[in-house]
Parts: sequence; structure tokens; C-alpha cells
Amino acid sequence: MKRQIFAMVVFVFYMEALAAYAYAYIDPGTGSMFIQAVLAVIAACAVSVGVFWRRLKAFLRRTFSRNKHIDGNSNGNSNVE
Amino acid sequence: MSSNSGSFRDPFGKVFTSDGKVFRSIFSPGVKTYEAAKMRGVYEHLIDKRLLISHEETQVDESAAEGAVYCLAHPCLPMVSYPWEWSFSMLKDAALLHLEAMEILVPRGFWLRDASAFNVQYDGKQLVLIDTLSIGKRTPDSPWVAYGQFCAHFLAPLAIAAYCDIRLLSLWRSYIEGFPLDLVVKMLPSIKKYRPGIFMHLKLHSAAQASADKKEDITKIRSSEKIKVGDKGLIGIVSSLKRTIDRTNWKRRSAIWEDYGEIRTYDDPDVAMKSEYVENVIRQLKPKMVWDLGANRGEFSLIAASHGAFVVSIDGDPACSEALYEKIGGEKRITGILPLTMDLANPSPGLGWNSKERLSLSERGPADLVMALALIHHLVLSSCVPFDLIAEWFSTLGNSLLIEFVPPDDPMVKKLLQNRGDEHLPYSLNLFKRSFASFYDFEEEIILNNGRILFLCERSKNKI
Repeated sequence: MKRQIFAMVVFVFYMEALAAYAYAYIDPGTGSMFIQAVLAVIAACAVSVGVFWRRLKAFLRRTFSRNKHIDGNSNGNSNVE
Repeated sequence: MSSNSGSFRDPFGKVFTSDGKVFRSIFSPGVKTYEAAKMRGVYEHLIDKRLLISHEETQVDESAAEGAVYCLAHPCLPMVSYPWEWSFSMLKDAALLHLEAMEILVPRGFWLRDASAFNVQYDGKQLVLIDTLSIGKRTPDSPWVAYGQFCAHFLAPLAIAAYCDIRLLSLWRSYIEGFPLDLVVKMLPSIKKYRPGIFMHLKLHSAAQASADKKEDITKIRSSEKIKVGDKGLIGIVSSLKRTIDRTNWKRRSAIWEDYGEIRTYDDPDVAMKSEYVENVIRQLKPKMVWDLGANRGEFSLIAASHGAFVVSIDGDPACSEALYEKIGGEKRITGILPLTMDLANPSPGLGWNSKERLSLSERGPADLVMALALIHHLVLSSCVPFDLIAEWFSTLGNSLLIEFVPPDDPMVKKLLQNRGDEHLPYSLNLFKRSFASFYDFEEEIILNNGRILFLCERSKNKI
């Protein structure tokens, strides 16, 4: 995965360095096909980050709501006392 | 049988009309894909979701094109329109429609073989994909074959309209195969080029195209078969495109005409009288198809549509067609109105192959009723088109004409002439009547309190 990301970053900078447009006798779709390999990796990373973020949020929510619940109970108990 | 002039590129099939009905022939290269999609219930699913135009298999008879294996009958569209006539949001909705279809198709092992803006039309209720055969079996692990076309047909024009100028959508007329990505990237403001979606799908994409072109050795055939994009990657690309397009918004800035309703010189009773008269005409003529030329925000188009007419509402100001498109798509969904942007002094010409692939406005008529309300003074005095030429052109567009004459002493006419001195085309009621009488019979007229006159005319059969 690390190697893939490294290759992707190098590719992105390489593409950025290209400026001139050349008219050519080829199927104009070739570049569009190649770029998707890079974008698919970016999209997959984004999905992984998204999944991680959602899990982290769910974990934090669970943790804090449990604390709140415990706090609530302890308050309740203290009231009883 | 007559072939559709815009249907000749796809080896899988061809559209033709017969007895006013629309059919599609499917040739042998398209049979496998068609049968697979039919078996898997893909068409049914998309049709149920109202993403795809419906079809029914019919018998292949002599009216079908030679070599047809299947023949499908489609419902007729009320009016074909093209992306150079669409409002910003209509183009955006057409883009999202493609992506929504892709999200359904990819997990089922299918995809869109092409992503052309011309594959989307308004069916009288909403936008739908009209090219049944653009649904194809996905090549496993292959990148999306229509990705380049999608960016050129949707993302590039939307980005340039949102971030540079809405009027640049008219570049469609020059680039009917989609906006060249390098051109769009060159024109976008630097700060916008680095928004994540725009950067990936336009800037990097354009650089990849340039790189592929540069490196290409024409003596060698370079295959893109080695490039692998799995289903997850493809869905990721589709979601990223969807997010990018969702976030590409045009902040509507008008343009005098969108606000015309507020600044116009009518008093309320005149507006009411005019609306009532328009309503009476619609009730009397019961037109199925109305073209409202110079429609502004579609006040009178809405009246016509409320009586069951299909209305093509045309205005030169992109803000007007955008406002109307938003209104009809709002909470109280209104059907039967197609808002288009078009400068009536330079209406859509025939474009594409042999100038017949995409039809001119006139070729898409005639309408039952043409409305030209508060328009004629603009055509004569701003666009410098004489009355007789206007009358001649209108007479080719429809059978009945409801036209408003704005007198020379009207404040709006005076405003148009304020910097022109005497150097303008002759403009008088007599000349108007004489010019239109060459093509029309005047049936009725009604004078409003502000001096404007509404004429109801019928195209004269003897004079044409």
C-alpha cells in the first residue's frame, strides 16, 4: 500500500510537470483510461479514511455516551443519598 | 421509415421513426449485451427508477433498419433539446443522472458505454436517459470507457460556467463532442483548479491526456488492458465525480431580465388583463405544444402549462431559464415546461455531421401556438431585425401566434433608443401590421391600458 501511494504521488507530480498539449493521432481516451488507475487508488484511500473516521466517531460517541450515562447514574445516586 | 439524423454512430443500433412513432433497431453486435441486460432485469430496474426511457419489444418488420435483430418501440419525446440550450442546473441534473445510473449498473456487472449529454432528454416530466443501448456489459476490472467523455460533457462545462462565466456554456456550439479539458483547465481561475475534484478529474486528467499523446508511438499499438480498476475503485471514482458535481454551483447573477418582472412598466391591472387574455387564448385554442419566445421567468408559460400544454420556454438570459428550471423542480413540482436559453436573434442552428446531426430550432417545430410577448421591440431595436423578417421566421415556427406590440412611446422602447438617436430600423404599428399581414391573418386584438396591444394571429395558408 505504501509503495502504491508513493508511486501515485510521484505520478501526480510528474503529471503536474507536463504542460504542453500535443495534438496526436491516437485515441484520446488513452490518457483518460490511465488516469483512472490513479484516481481509483485515491478513491480507495478516501473510502478507507472514511471508514476509519466513521469508526473513530462511533467509538468516541460510544465512549462519551457511556461516561455520560455513568455520570448520570452517579448523579442520580448522589441525589438519592 | 425515416432514420434519426443524430443516430448513426453506434454499431449496436439505430433510432428511426415510423408513422410518428420512435423505434430502435438492434443489430447483431448489440444483441448479446441487450439480452444480458434484459435477463438481469437491468432495464426494468432503471425504468422503474425513472432513470431510463421505457421501451417495448416489437416485431422486426420491413420498417426496421436492415440487419435488425430486435426492434424496440419508445414513447415520443415532446421536444428534443441540446446542452447548449440548457440551464446550468439542467446540465448538472443530467450529469447526476448518469452517475446515479452507474451506481446501479456497476454492482450488477454493467456500466454506461458512453456518457454523452445528448443521451439525456426531458420526457415531459423529468430528465431521462434515452439511449437504451448505452447500457453495456462491464469489461471486468477495466477503467470506465466513458470517463473521458463524462468529464468533457459534464464536469468541464459545469466547472467553467460556475467558476468563470455562465455564458461560456455557449462553447457547446463549437465543441459538440464535449469541452476540451486542456482548454477548460487553462481558463479556470488558479484557486479553483486545486479544489480536490476539479484537480483530479480535470487538471490531472488533462495532463494524463497530454502525456499519453506525447508518448504515443503511432507505429505501436499500446493497450490499456493492463490498467486495472476494480468495482470498488470504479464506484469510488463515480462517488468522487458525484461529490465534485454536487459542489459545483453557479451563484445566479442576473442580468436585467430576470428582475424584469419587478422593473417593468406594467400596472397590476394590466398584468392581470394580459394574464387573463393569455389564459383565454390557451382555453380557446387548446394547443398541445406552445413555444413561449422571450419567456423571461415563464409567467405565461406556467399559465399555458396549467391548461395541459407542453411549453418550451425560451429566453436569452441564462438566469431566467435557471430560475424557471428551479421553480418547476421545486417542492410543488410542475411538469410540462422545458426552459431553454437561446438568443432569439441567433437561434440554435443545425450542428454536427452535415449540419443535420443536431437540429436547428425551426426543424424541431412547428408548435401549435407561438407566444412572443414583450419581445418584438427587442428584436427590431436591439438586434436590428426588420419586422418582415421576424414575421417570416415566426410563421415557420407555428400555426397560431400571440404577439404583443409595444408602442414607440412605451418607456421600455424609449430606453432601448436612448443612445441611438434616429439610427434605428423603422418601428411603428402600421409597419408591424403590414409586415405580419403578409404571413398571418389577424384574428383578435386587445389594447392594454399602457398602450401595448396583444394580437392573436393565424398563419395564413394563402400567403405562404
